[in-house]
Amino acid sequence: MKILVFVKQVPDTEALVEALDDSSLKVEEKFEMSFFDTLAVEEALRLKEKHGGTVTAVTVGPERAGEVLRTCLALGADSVFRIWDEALAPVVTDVFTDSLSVARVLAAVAKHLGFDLILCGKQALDDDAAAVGVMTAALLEIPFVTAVTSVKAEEGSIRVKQKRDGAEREIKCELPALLSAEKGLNEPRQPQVMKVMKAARAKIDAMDLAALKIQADAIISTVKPVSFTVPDKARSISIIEGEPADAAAELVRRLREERQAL
Amino acid sequence: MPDKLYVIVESNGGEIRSVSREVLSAARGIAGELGLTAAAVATNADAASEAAKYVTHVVHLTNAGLIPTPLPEDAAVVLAGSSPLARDLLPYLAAASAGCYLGDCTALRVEAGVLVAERPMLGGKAAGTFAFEPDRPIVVSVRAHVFAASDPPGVSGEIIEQAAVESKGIEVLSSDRAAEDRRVDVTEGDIVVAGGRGLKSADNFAVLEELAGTLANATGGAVAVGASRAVVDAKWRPYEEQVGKSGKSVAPKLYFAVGISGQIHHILGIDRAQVVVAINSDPDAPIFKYADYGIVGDALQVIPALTEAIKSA
Ligand SMILES: Cc1cc2nc3c(=O)[nH]c(=O)nc-3n(C[C@H](O)[C@H](O)[C@H](O)COP(=O)(O)OP(=O)(O)OC[C@H]3O[C@@H](n4cnc5c(N)ncnc54)[C@H](O)[C@@H]3O)c2cc1C
Repeated sequence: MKILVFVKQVPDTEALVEALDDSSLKVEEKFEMSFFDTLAVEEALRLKEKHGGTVTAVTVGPERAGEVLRTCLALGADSVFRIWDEALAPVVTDVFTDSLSVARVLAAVAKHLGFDLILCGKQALDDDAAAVGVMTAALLEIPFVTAVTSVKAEEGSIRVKQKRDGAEREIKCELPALLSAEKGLNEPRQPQVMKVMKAARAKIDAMDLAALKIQADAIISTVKPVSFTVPDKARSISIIEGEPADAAAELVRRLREERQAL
Repeated sequence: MPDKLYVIVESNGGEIRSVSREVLSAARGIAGELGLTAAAVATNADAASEAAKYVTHVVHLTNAGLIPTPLPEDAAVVLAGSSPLARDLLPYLAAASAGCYLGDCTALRVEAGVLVAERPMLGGKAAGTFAFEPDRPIVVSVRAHVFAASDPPGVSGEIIEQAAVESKGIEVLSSDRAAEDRRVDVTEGDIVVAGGRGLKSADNFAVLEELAGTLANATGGAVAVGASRAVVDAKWRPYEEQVGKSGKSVAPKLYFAVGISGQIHHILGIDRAQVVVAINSDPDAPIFKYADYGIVGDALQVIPALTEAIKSA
């Protein structure tokens, strides 16, 4: 089975974010692979180990994004591709990703490389958009199932589980298809030291739009952030003292009278 | 010329989703400001008849399956409430029609004749205001409680039945509705009662369930139970209830954080709550920095006392 995994480099969950003014944001330069993508990579490796085939990891991003591909190599991916082009700089920035532009690039990569199955994370941990995977499937006109918690390959098809609105569904999906990984799908492995060292020396291939036969005018900013704030989440607390019964009664009174919340 | 604003109207177990009603309630106003006509696409008959009380033109998609549903040709804007279905459907529609998609918005309004939206960025650490490329369909979902639900204006709209395009290559083999399925989704609660590791065991969540039930009776509103990641990881509560960065973002009128320490990952999911109440035995717990009211004490004593206080108030 030929498996493609789409991965994204995102700011580390601990990275500090600062608003320089209302139209520029500064993000501390600490990055990691988006959590749900690590589940997608793991599932791809497991499918390969069980059924044979290849795992190819793909990312769209500037040079620093090559690091997540190095991680994929260290984990056991057979090959990796980083796509970047000056034309992408306005739509894939440090703070925002235009989903449709990236999906168009990824759909072109998928066609170029060929595939039976595409795996990606349910959403990226920076924008939480959950859009690129679905959009790529739409552009490729292939079936997709999002947020899967179990994957089983069968002849020419794949069986997955998905939890949604309190129901657990079992879905059969013909290949080629795209699946996105939900928490609980698996426990990602740690890379082996030898592989990490080898991956550190690997040359990460980069492809531009011309290599994918994408016209630069296919890349348009459909949605654009125009201003930013870094909201302060702190509130000013009133501590209510007293024995549980008294404090509870006082809380109810204040929620009702001061906030009309009850 | 696309001249319609379509609202996607869903129902969950017979009743129209509360977030769908909220978006329907706002649709005519927004459509008016944009010079468009409000319409709806409904995913079943109940949703269609409810939608027809708000807008004059309703497309009832029969056999609305797992997805492909082309965007109606006269759609200039498609609005939906955030939901699992919307997360699959909207990006799909946007990609297939080269439209502009922004999901899970926290505000949506018309400025100088065009739509602008707000949404968190960078995992909730920042918020952005977004503009859309002109002359393309705009496909947007907004979270629960962004718009207020209002009673239908007394329209009686026309319902047109249309078969959804079959989704190819996908077959649902089984769908097991868990016992908890009729519960209020944590994003749709007017009040959310959330518990953390401070509750000590899965069984002790019974005191929170009781508080939730009592609040629902007392207020007549939707009350949901939520959970911290620590208790979801411990399998005390299902992942559907997780509130925070890697769970759901909620915006209730009232949020109770019970035995939750208040790490930033949890706070990122509750910053749009109107009022936050923290109950924690540690007076130095970070949650008190992010709460409006606090009681320092043992949750297993304070919560039953609170339930009693609400019953007797
Ligand atoms: C990338 C990432 C994403 C994350 N996403 C989320 C997320 O979405 N949601 C989330 O919640 N967390 C998330 N976390 C985890 C988060 O950092 C915390 O670890 C988690 O929220 C802690 O859960 P807790 O407050 O229940 O447990 P603890 O931190 O263990 O806190 C328990 C609290 O209970 C109090 N307590 C103890 N006994 C009692 C008692 N008898 N009565 C009252 N209070 C008592 C204690 O004082 C303490 O404050 C994430 C972490 C990471 C790294």
